[in-house]
Amino acid sequence: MLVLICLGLEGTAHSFGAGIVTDDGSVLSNEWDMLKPAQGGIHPREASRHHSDLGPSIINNALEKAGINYNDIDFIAFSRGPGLGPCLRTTATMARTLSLKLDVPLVDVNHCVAHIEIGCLESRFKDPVTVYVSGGNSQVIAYAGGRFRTFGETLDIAIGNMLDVLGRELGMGFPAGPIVEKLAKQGTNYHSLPYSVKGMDLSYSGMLTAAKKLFSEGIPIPDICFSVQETAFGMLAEIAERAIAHTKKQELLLTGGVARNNRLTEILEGVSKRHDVKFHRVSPSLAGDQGAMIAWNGILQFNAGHTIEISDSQVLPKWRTDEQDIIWRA
Amino acid sequence: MKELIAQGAESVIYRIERWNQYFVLKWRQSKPYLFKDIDSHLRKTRTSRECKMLSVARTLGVRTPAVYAVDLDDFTILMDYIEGVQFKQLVSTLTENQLKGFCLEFGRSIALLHKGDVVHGDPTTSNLIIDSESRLWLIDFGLSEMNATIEMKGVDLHLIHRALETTHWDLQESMLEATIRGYSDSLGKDAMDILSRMEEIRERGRYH
Amino acid sequence: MSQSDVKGNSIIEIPLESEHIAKILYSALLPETESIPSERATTTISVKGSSLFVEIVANDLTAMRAALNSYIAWISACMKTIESIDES
Repeated sequence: MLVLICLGLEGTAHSFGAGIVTDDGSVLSNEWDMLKPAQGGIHPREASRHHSDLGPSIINNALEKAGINYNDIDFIAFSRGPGLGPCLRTTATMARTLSLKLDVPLVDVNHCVAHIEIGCLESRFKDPVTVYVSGGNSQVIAYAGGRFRTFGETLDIAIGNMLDVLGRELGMGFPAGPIVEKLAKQGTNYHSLPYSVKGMDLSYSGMLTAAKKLFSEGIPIPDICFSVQETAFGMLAEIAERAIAHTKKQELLLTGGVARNNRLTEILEGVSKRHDVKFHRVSPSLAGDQGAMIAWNGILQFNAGHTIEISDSQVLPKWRTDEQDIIWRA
Repeated sequence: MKELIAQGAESVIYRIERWNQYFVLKWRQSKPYLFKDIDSHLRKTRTSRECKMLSVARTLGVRTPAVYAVDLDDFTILMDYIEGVQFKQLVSTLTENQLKGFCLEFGRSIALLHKGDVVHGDPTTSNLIIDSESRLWLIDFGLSEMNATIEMKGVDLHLIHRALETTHWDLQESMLEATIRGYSDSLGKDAMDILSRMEEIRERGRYH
Repeated sequence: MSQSDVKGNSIIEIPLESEHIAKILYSALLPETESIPSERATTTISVKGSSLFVEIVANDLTAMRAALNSYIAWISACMKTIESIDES
């Protein structure tokens, strides 16, 4: 039986990934490397250099791990957006080169949609409300009327980014998220922080300012971490809950790099119990930015008849989740 | 006599009968998965805020249910029962003109709030009730705020756009256009700054 | 006149193994020359025989350097990719 094999390239931000997936949903390999900048923050140019320096060998490793040759690849998928311009462009040029050299089709994938679909593959969920939380994104998304629609998202900074900035202020390493989680467990006192839900959107900048103020007042770091987590995650839970109530979907999916946080998982599990819906947290290797999700989404699109011409494949740094017709779910 | 009429994400709505009249009893439930201080703080502030803002909105000329009693220990509000249908449910049954008419009025109502420096905070089509005489009522003021800045008003409009594109996607353009028209006709020249802020806000949450 | 006001033109020639490779790189890079009109540098690429030419016209030297860096990095990555395929 001949399966289709797709090589997917991810490079929207600090991570570059190459994943190989077959059309029966098997992940043959999933290699990636993340730029760790000397100081925290977002570094588009440095990251794009990271991708061009390490990309080709990451791709090689992916093929080796999958035990296949370049000639076995049936088509190339790449993360066209949204993301940081320089990083996207580096990834796109490599993808186009592969497509041209191997003379195989090219498929353009939306990064956020890919996060959802790989979560559905892993969980076997048909149609969830998805909470997608990472360094650069905090969105609650659900499929409606032919598209994935963003029911709620951050109005300013993403939760992962907020935790990293806070961590930097508090003197932690990067990424700070896991350290905040660890310290929060030692927190004993709750300090009130701005809980800012606006409709189904959230705002984290007020909380960040208030947390920095607590630090300057000498409040112990574990207590700050505890308070930030409970407040920030409570806000996410609220909008997830409202999306569930509104859409009446039966499944809740948690994905993105911040999905690794156990307290957030616990809270969202509580939400799903309350509404009697199924819950799944995407496993770490498929939750962060990686190539396998791009490859899988590539397969879904390819099987639905969608490929893209090289000449039409300019990157889309501001590609919104709801700007893509989800033809494979129609 | 108590009848459950709605179970939302945050509260339960009962219709009760007293003194030969119907009332709504809105009860904000506890969320056990939240840290307890956050949970009780939210229930308390939203209950008291809704109670106050329903009345403030009224004084600004917006049709809202009147509040009769509030209990900040139980987190309940007793208010008018409005016999009608959520605008959200009605949309697909309306003609183009009827839809435009209601959207114009929606925009006007929001403009009245904004004129008084009040924002609704959750302006979705689930929070609009159309009664048997086709009058528009605004409900659910738990996220409403006073002393609203241009930023807050911009967010209010952004939330309307968001509500339309996620719930009424195939009609969103005409609905948004009519709502904004009703809004700016009513608010006049002040509308422009707020509308451009709305556009700006939409861009912000995107990838950084 | 400060360094940042100095305009510049540069043309780099990348001799490649074959016309075929040159055409591949050309097609892979072409969308990038078309996509961002507002940058302070404009890039045009062309192929002659088995050489790829990248011409950059920039408003200031910083923009020139950034554009050069980007294209060279992309060309390098694409070349390594092609080599990996040829070696496999």
